[in-house]
Amino acid sequence: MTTDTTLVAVRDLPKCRGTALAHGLEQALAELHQRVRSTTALVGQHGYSMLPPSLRDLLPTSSEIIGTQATDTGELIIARSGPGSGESSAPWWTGVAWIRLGGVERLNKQATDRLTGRKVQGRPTITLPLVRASVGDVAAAIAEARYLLADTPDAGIPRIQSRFDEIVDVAVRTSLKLFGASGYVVGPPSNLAYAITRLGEVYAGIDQKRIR
Amino acid sequence: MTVMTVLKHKPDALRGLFGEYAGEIRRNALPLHNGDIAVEELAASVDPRLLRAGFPPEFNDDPMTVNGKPVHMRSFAEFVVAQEELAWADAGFLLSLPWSSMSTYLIEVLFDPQERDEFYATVAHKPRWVFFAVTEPAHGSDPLGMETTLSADGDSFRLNGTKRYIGNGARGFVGFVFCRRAGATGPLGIEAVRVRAGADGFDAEQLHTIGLRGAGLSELRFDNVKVTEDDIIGRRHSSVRRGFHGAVTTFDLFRPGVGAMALGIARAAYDYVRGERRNPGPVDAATLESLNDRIHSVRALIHGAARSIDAGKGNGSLSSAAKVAAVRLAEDSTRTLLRMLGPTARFDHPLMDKFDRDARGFEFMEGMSDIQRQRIAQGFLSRRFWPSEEPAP
Repeated sequence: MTTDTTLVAVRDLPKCRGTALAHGLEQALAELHQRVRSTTALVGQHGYSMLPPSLRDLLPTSSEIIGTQATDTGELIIARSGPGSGESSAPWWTGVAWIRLGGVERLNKQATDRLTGRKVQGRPTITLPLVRASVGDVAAAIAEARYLLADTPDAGIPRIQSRFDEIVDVAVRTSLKLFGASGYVVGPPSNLAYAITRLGEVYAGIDQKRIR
Repeated sequence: MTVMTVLKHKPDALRGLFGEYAGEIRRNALPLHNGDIAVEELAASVDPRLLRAGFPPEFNDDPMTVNGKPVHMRSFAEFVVAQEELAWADAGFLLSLPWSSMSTYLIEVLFDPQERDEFYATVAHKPRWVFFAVTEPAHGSDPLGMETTLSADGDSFRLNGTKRYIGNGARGFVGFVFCRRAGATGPLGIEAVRVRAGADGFDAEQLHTIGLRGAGLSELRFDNVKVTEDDIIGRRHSSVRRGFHGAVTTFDLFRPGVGAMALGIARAAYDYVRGERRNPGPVDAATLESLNDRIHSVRALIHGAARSIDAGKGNGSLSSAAKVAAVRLAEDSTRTLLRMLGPTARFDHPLMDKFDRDARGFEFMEGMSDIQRQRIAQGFLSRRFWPSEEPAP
């Protein structure tokens, strides 16, 4: 695991969550790079990268762009690099985790805004108890993930990854369901949801043995 | 206990301290559950310093210590550590401890200084129980639905109604009963009044519950019980700050603690099965690992909610989230782990049966999960979910 970051920058990683929430994943990932400033961290342990186009030139020369992932605000490029190009980075993983959390909040905000404007039998959908219970579940999941991240030092990250991913997965799926069938159509909400999930997969795999 | 206090000891140090007590209490968990020993008997045998935890320092001249320093337990961040550890031992007994009563907030915040001092002087040197009675048979914990009535009767009042599922109700020497002034509507018509055991017209009966038997959940009946003006809690405060506000605030403050107790049971079940299954197969090993991850994760949420309260930034919906997550974990953990031990686990492992029975009780404390989910959503949608420094959607 690389630790080539200043303490101040690492302490500020949670700010990337607010950026993802307010402005989307591309801007948040660009901000994360500004804070972590590790080019090796841009490639995940399994050789894949998922980044805003503005960071494309920072990838290893062996990298190949294999596709894009649309979000609700633009798109991320997906690249594959040669063996050994990627490196586990606890600060990068942590920053991506904060961004994913902010992304879930962004997705949920879009869902609840939409339900505020829709009606079932004359009542705003957002006022239905079962809908609100789902919103409550997402909020509780986000809170659990937020405090789990905030309370975990770098050395503890391998231990929390699995649980964090599980919580985010539940929150993403529940939020997307709130869109109803429109969430199943390829479009901004489903793109954002899918991007949050894929980001977790691309940068997964912080391994205790590799922490140094 | 007060709001705006800070953690005085590191959680791990407190965990060690309460872990020692937990081992002692665990030995009596099944006898207490089975009715072979009474709470009063057990309370008389434990270290009196444990019974005084959380008392103001001036009423606790011999507190517990960690590394030679006194532990006064005046913060919620400390309380949730203690509650998890002691619930690991026996959640029922923990709920019987005098300091775990929700009455604490009323005593600390709404009592006059003299009343507060008299109260602590009374309970400082021997175990005495206090009850906090909100819940009613027909309305649960919804203060606005309350039907227990306080009616004027000359210079005093008369209390009529029934409360149910009240911890330590039948063993309390005094309690605080939430009621509605006759004819009043809305939240400002709610009062909390003091009722003493043995008062004419007051009857209390312990309920036989599935679990959490040490808690002594009771039904309380009030038939024209006399209440004086002095018995109205917080009477010198505005009606906005007492009664309804006192009940709602108390629930909000104590929910992370309820979550901590549920977490303690989840961990107790996990530790028990780890001890029984030292070499689990791959499926069981993965299940255990997943539960352990959740224990760790839910603890972070509970501690976050408790720290928010201590920082004066607590809000009800975050407390509710902590409770909901912990209650789910406790139920999932006990159910899953019982199954892991095999079809006759309840017979072969009575402690696990007790954990499962106890875990189900937390669903109903301070509002059931479906109600809490509504509250969480309300806070989340109205941007009151996070402590103030957090970004809101």
